[in-house]
Amino acid sequence: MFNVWKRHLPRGLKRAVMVWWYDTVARMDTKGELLFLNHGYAGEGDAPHTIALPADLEPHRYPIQLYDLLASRRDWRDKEGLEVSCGLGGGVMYVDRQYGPRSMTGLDLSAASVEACRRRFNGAQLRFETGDAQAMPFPDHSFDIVINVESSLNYPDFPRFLSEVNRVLRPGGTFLFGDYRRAAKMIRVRQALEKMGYAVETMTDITAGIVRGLERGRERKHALIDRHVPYLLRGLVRGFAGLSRERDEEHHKFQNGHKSYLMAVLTKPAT
Amino acid sequence: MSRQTDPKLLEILVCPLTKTRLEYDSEKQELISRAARVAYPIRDGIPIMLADEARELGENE
Repeated sequence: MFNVWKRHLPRGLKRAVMVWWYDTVARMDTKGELLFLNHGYAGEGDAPHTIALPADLEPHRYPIQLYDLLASRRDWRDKEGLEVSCGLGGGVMYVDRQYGPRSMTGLDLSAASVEACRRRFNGAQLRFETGDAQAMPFPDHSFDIVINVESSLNYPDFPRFLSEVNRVLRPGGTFLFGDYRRAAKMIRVRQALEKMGYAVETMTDITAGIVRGLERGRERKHALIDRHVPYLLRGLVRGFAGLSRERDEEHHKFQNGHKSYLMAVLTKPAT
Repeated sequence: MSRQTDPKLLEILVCPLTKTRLEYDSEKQELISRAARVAYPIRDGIPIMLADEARELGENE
């Protein structure tokens, strides 16, 4: 039901609903229990993917592992990083703590999210700004690394987002990307990424690791919703969180190939 | 909540429409883009750098 509704809303209204949703999530007081909104990653194949984490970050393991899969591909020291669509700021916080960039900026469409990030995460090297991924409020060549995780599916104009990434990245800079689409749309996403003319270090399907991440993260997501969302709203929130109990549960869509998840590591030409 | 906008902000942010520099109006709490003829509101110290939230400048501004 939720998905039909989401798919058939007119574009402007859909955007308004999305912003309302992210504003609402940002205003919830979850005592820091909710810092990430991505599906999570738990590795593919036989050996489980388990990175070392400080105890306080352990509850956020699977969404952090998705960030780390991308962030670990670069040495961030002395680098200026940007996360486009930083949401509740967990990704910016993690990259800053784990990889020590010179500065880290988070950009998000939701002003309430930016406010929550500024309140929650302090540090002279951290910035959070309100803006649109398709029209960023930053000068040309401002950043060495741009990271974007599970947000671009909400951008009406994906190629315009990529041209903004290209504009704000310095020559030789890196674009770290992860997101999912329905199968037919994913072909266009790959084509748009290739059209950037960047060196493709990695462009890989990571769906299997996402399926496992969703499985391992499910119990905690249900517990968080039960703890922090009023009873009558829980069904709606489960829908937004991809946890509806119907058979179109997010996890099955990845399992049956209806949706796939892509990660990409791309380098901008140095000249 | 801080209502100050530090000067560094103006080096880091540009008009998202024209990518040009901004002026800070401390009285109205706005960031002004002369090139795009719009003003971006600053709410609770947070500049809202979105075209659809910007105010069009009047003729005498």
